Amino acid sequence: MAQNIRELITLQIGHHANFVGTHWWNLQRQETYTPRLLCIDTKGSLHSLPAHGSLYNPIQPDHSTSEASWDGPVELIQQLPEEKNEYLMDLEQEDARFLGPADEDKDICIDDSSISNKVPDFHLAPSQKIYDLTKSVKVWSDFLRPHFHPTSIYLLDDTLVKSARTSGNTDETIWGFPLGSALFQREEVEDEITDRIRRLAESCNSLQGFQILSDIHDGMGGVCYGVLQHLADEYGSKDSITFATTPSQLSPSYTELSKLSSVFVPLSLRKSCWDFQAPSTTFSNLTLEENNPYITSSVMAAFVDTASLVYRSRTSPLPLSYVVDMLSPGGRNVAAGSVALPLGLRFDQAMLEWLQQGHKPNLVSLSAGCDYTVAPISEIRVIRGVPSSRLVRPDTKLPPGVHYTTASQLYNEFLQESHTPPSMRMVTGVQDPLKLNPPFPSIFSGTFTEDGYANNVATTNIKSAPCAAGLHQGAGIGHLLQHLVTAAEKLDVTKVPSLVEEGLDKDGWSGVVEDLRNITRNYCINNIEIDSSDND
Amino acid sequence: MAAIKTLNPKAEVARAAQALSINISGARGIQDVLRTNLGPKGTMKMLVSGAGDIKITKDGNILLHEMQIQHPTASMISKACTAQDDIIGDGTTSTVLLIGEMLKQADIQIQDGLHPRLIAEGFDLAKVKAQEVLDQVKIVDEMKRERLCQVARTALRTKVQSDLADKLTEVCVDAVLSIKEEGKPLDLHMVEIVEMQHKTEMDTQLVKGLVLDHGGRHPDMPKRATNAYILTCNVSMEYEKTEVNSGFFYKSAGERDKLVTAEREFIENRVNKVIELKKKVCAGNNNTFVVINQKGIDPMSLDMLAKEGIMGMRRAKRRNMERLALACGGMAVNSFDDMTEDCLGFAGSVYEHVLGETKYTFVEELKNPHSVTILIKGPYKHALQQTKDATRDGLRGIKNALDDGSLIAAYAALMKYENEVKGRARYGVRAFADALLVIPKTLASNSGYDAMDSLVKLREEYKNNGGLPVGLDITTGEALNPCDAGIFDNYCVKRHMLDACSVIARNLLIVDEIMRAGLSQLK
Repeated sequence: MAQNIRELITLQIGHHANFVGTHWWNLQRQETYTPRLLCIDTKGSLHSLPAHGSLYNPIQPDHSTSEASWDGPVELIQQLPEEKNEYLMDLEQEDARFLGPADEDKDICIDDSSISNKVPDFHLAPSQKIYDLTKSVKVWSDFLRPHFHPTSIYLLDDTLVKSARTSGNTDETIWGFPLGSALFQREEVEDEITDRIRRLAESCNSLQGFQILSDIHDGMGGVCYGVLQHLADEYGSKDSITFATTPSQLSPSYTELSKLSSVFVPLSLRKSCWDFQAPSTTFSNLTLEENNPYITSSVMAAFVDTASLVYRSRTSPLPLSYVVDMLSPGGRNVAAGSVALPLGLRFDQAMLEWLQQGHKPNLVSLSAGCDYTVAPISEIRVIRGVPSSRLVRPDTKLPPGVHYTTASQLYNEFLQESHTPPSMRMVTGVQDPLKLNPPFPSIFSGTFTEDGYANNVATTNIKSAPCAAGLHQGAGIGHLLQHLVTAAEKLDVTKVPSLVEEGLDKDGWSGVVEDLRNITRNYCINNIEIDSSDND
Repeated sequence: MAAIKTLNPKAEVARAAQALSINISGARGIQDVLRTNLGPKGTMKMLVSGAGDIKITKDGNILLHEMQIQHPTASMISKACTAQDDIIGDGTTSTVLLIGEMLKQADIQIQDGLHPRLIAEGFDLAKVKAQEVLDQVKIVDEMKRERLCQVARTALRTKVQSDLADKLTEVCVDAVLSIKEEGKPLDLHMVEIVEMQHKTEMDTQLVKGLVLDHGGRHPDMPKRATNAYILTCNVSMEYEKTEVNSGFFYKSAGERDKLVTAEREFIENRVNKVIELKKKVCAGNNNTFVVINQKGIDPMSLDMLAKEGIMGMRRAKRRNMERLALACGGMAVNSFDDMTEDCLGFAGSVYEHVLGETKYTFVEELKNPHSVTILIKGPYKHALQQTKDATRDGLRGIKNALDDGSLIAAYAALMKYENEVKGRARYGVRAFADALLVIPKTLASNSGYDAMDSLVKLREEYKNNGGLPVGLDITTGEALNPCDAGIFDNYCVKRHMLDACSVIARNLLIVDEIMRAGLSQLK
């Protein structure tokens, strides 16, 4: 029966979260497929994508005012059609071919030759072409591949929520948690969002939980708070794993969200969790434009896609509740994430050889520079894309009785020998590599073969890559939170007018700081695992 | 140079006359957009977004939401009007028009050298007086069905075309009357609104019962139940992880399986309790049994229920629990332990209706339903939305009328004004009075008549008939008595509108400096 427990509902709240989510869905390679998903964003952030999607209602190019059914005058106010980038145009063409000509008379036999003549032979499917979308992607729908169900996207009124996008100024600190949660409490908003979640849940035979991607640097954190509160209330026995994606971070969201979700994983490419002018995390083999959400979100998506394999993989998924139990011992439910992209294995090497030479997957922390190696408590590592043929060289003599069948087995055994082992470790893996077809941006700077192994000669078109990801629980998170507490203590609320305007006064803020301190305390008191190496 | 400039060189400042002109241009800009919407002959607006999303509306509030307003003053007005809509649900277009007009009238006086503060004072005085007048002309009457229909029709005719408006009027009034209970405040939540993309708007109907947007999730479950006992509950009937974290502490796989079996048994016991009750109440008669659960029901439990011929629905709306209790009787239970026959509701007919990928379940033929459903139909998504918005407004209008117990003959009260105020503040009063005339003027011009011409007719009529209310007949352009024509508006809408627009106009007038400075950086 445990095999049936598979259903997960995905919620994406906020613009940056949707960027990550879009990359994530693009990485899934099913052709016809409507995810069990609810995206929440602000109005005007979809550009060329209709809010109800184009799956069931193909877009009509012309609108006549007669549709209005009104005896009086009708005024037609039409925005110019949004420009579509090359990728979307190609997708649309592909869809059109798939659906056939939009002809109402199905009886009429269509002469196939005439259609195929129209399509030039040099036309490549969008999945094979190479695009440079770095400049042209403005919003996430600019590179969305799958069609969503008409009820998958919910748009909030942008006048009522302060999001980083509407202010348009990335240098500015955006506060908006109180506004966001107030917006969620508006009756029509709450009703609609909760109803859509309910409908998704109703269709599940045995829902195991929710995976949530949320922005927490702006008002969307507040919205997410409301959603999580609802989930805790209505679906109390379900687990949820929240990935807080953000270019910068905000503490009220931290405290409230981590209280409510089973596991909370902050993701940020900056090295500090508070100051978002801080330098970005560097990846040895990637070049990232740090201010381009299209690029940064792709790394996060690679992480989310890989790490979530632990409960998502087709062959042997763990129930989400195991994952949650493992990552949240003793009330420590803020976990760190890390990714090694690509793995770094050379094309002519076997994995055993590579590991024996002292290499290891270089997991780079994605949680705001959090050092996950400090006094680890538990961790989950996922390794993907190393086929069993690549584990050992055929000519290597293994000790008798030793036999490696999967990369995760090998990796696990190798990790056993390392020092400071966490008290719980789980290593799993799949054979599929991370597929890097467009619209995944080309972010690799090293020299790699087409399937992502290190090489001396560079290939322009990397199609897939082996990679690894980790979810970690340990003292490092405690330090991260401690940083946050210190920064929050220093802040004088009265000097941030927009925060005061939203109704957060000095007392309110000290409450927030106190909550944060409580969460941090979980990491320092009542633990057995952390010894004197912890300096708090 | 403004002081802030020395502190923050990046700050932008607009002072005195300049600040005022920014405010006035903002208010008038937004007024211009909404002007053509007013009244039953106003323009319908069809908004097509860059992505091809369609929105058809005439409702000021919705338009304000759809427009992405950049002008600071305009966005402030729009927020204030949205607030009005939140409270009473109508009158946004009029409020926007009034604010714009009041600032325009004030502008004329200010050009002549009058201080904005005096005008603001005049506005305050005039507002009080206007509300007094409103109190005098309000019609206190018993709210009979016919009266309520008149109110609803007045509101709805300005939103949708007239035959649909008449249809919705009946639907809304009947809906409100059936949920109305003496001595209890009216809760409009007890009118459920369900959309169905099907047929045309004119097929919108009132269901004296409930329509749920989901159905049984088991192929063998009955699709139809007559004379059904309804059990509404909030009890999980699915296998779930235990509350205590237990994931990793089994000694062996066998131990784990044992725990799983025990868990399963626990859920089965719950389902068996329901089945027991069913057997008890349905023994010896042909009645059927329906379970509507707010929590989940997993396939195995569904299977057990289906074998007993019980119709089971999972994940019902939280609010539907309350509605079901009101509609069918009985009460929602949170535990199956102390369940008795009294907890059950009863419905004459429960049946499924499948439309596309959505299943609807109708719960009908109820004895005395205090919760009903308005089933909105329409061919397109945007048509559904338009009808739904109108229905909401209609319901709100009826509720307001019932709450106030009084009505205003539409468009009449605004004609009265007075000149008793001494001193210079009377200019403000005059500006206020002139501004109020914008409503009949706009109505006349939207209906294709000369605004001034109509105004003169109205004034004459008012002078001659000795204080009776006067309204504008939009089909002829002549004056008429709105009471005779059955055109009534909500008292609280008008009262709130006067209040809101005078306060906002006043605030905008006395602004003498607009500053825009960057938010302080956080370090």
